[in-house]
Amino acid sequence: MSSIQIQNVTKRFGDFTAVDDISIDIEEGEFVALLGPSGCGKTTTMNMIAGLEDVTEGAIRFDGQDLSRIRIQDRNIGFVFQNYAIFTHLSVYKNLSYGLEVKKVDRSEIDRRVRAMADRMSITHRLDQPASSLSVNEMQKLAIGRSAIVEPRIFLLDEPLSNLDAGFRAYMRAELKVLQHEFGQTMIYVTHDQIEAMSLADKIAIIDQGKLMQYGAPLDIYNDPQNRFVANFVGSPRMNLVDGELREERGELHLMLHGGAEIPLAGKVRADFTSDARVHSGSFGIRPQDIYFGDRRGPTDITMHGKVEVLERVGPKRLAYLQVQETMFLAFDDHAQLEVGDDVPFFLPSDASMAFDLDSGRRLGGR
Amino acid sequence: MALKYFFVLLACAVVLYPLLWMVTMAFKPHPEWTTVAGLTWFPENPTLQNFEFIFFGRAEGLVVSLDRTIVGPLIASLVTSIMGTLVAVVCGTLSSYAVVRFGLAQSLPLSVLQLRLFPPLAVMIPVMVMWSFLGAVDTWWGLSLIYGIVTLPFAFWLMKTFFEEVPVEIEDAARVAGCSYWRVFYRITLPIVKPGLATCALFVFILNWSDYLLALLLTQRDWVTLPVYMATLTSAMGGQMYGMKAALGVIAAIPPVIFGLMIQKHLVRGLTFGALKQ
Repeated sequence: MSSIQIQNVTKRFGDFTAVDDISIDIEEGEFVALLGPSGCGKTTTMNMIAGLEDVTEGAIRFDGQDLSRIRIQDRNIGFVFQNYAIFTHLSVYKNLSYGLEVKKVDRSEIDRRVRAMADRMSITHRLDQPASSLSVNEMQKLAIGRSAIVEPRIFLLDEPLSNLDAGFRAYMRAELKVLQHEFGQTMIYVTHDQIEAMSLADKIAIIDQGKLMQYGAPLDIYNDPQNRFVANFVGSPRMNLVDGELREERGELHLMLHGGAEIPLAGKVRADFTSDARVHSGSFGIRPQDIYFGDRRGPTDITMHGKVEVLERVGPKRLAYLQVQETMFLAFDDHAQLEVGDDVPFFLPSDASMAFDLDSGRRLGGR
Repeated sequence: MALKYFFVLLACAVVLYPLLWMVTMAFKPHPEWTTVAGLTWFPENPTLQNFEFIFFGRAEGLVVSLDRTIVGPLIASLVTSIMGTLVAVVCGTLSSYAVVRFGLAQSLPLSVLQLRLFPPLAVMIPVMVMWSFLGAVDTWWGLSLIYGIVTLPFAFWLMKTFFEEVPVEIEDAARVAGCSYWRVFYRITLPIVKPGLATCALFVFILNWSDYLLALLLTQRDWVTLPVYMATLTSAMGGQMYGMKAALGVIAAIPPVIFGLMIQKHLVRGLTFGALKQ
C-alpha cells in the first residue's frame, strides 16, 4: 500500500499533448477515479503510473520515491486492463500463479495463495481449465484476481466494467468496493461512466483534453463544480446549462439566451455574474431537481414560463422538457401535475443556480 | 449444390491426377513407362525396382547403373531445407516482432518485401560470385544461407500479421507482473503465436524443399539436392528414367507430408488465426 504523488505530469506524443500538467495527490488506501470522456488522457495517465509509458515532464512518486528510475517489473503494480488481457494460452491456475512465479515465490505458497484467491473470486471449479474457455464475467474475475494475488502496492483498473452486461456490472461494482475494503489497497480507477465514479470513489479526478478539470470528493464535485465542463459532465440527468449575453437595463441584469429567451437574474446568482466585471457572456446552470413548479417559495427565486414538450418517466419520477422559445429546460415533475402542451410558470431558485464564464468556462462566484 | 461439388471435384482431379500418375509410375517396371506397351492406369506388374535402383544405384534386370544414389541428395535436401527454414523463421520472427511491437525500422517491411518483388534469378550471378568468393559454393551452409535469405521476406510478413493480432495489453499485463521484455516475448507472445509459427515454418520449409534453381547454381557435387538430382536421372541408353523419377518424387513428398501431419493441430488454427477475435 502506497501513497501516490502525481506532480505536474505532462505527456506528449510528437506534437500531440495527451496529458497536460496534471497534479494529483492520492493518500494511502484511497480509491480514486479518473473520470473523463474517451480520449481525454486518463488511460495515458494510468499507463504512466504503471510505467507502461514514460513521463515527458514532471514526476510520479510512490511514498515520495521518484518512479522514473524504477523499472516497471520492480514497481509491484496490479493492473486490470479493459479487455482483461488474460493469458488465453494458459490455464486459469497458471494465470493466477503467473505473477507469483515471476517473483519466484515458493511452490507451496503459490498453491496456497492461488487456491485462496480462486475461492475468493469463486472460480475454483475452473482452475484446471484453459483460460480461453471462460465467460466474459469469469475473465473479469480472473483479471482482478490475477492482479490482486501479488499484493501490489497500488491497484490500477482501466475501465474494468465496460465490457460487462448491465446486471453483472452492478454486481461487480459492489464487489469492487468490497474488495477494496478487504485489500485495503490504494486504487486508481479509470472510467468514462460518472455513475461508476460517483458510487465507487473516495475522490474523483475529472480530466478533459489532457487537463485536470477538478479533483475532489464526489459530493463536492457534484455540489460545487469549478467549471462549466464539470458541471455539464457530472450528474444524471445533466445540469441545465444555458448560454447567453449579460445585459443591464434600468438596474436589472438579464441573461439574454442565444435561443431568444431571457433570464432575469436575481439574488446570489446575480451577485455571482457580477463578481467579475470583465465577463459579458455567461452560462447559467441549474440541476433539474432544483427547479420547481406551483407557488414561488423564495423572494429571489427566478420566475420563467415554458411549454411542456415531453414528459419522460425516469424511475418513479417524471422528467419534464420545458421549452422557453428556443431553449429547453429539464425539470422533475414531482407531483405529476403537468400535461404535455401546458404553458406553465416554473421557478429557478437563485441559491441553487450557478454562474459560469462562457469564454473560459470557469465558475463565477461560488457556493 | 451439385454444381458446387462439380467444381470441387474438378479442382481435386486437376490437383490429384498428377500425384496419382506419379505414385503409379513409381511402381511400374520399365516397359510400362511409355506407350510402347500401352499406358495403363495401374501397374500391371507392380515392382519395387525403381526404388531399389535409386537407393542402391543398380537393380536386377536393369543394364544401366548409377554412380550415385539418392542418399546423399536426400541428406543434402534435409539439411539445407531445415537450416534455411531455421534462419528464415528465427530472423523473420525476431525482426517482425521488433517492427510490430517497438516500432523500429518502419521502412523495413517494405524493404524486405522488395526482396520478393523480383525473381531470385535476377541476382543469382552476383550471388554466385559472392558465394564462390566466400567459399560457400557446394557447401551445406552456403545453400542454407541463401535459402534463409530468399524465404526471409515471406517469414517476416507472415509473422508480422500474427504478431499484429496479439493484443498489446497481454504483454503489458506480463510486464506489470514483473517480466522483462525478453521473457514477455519468450513466455507469453511466442506461445500465443505458436500456431502461426508452425504454419510459417511449414510454408518456408516447402519453399526451400522444392527449390531447384538455387541448388542448381550453387551446388556441384557434394550438396546436390533432390530436385537437382532428379534432373540427372537420364541415361544415354535408356533416355529419361521416368520410373526412377517418379519413385524419387514419392520419396521427396514424404518429409513435407510428415511435417504437415506433425503440426496439423496448429495448422488449421494458424490459417484462421486472423479470423478469430480474442
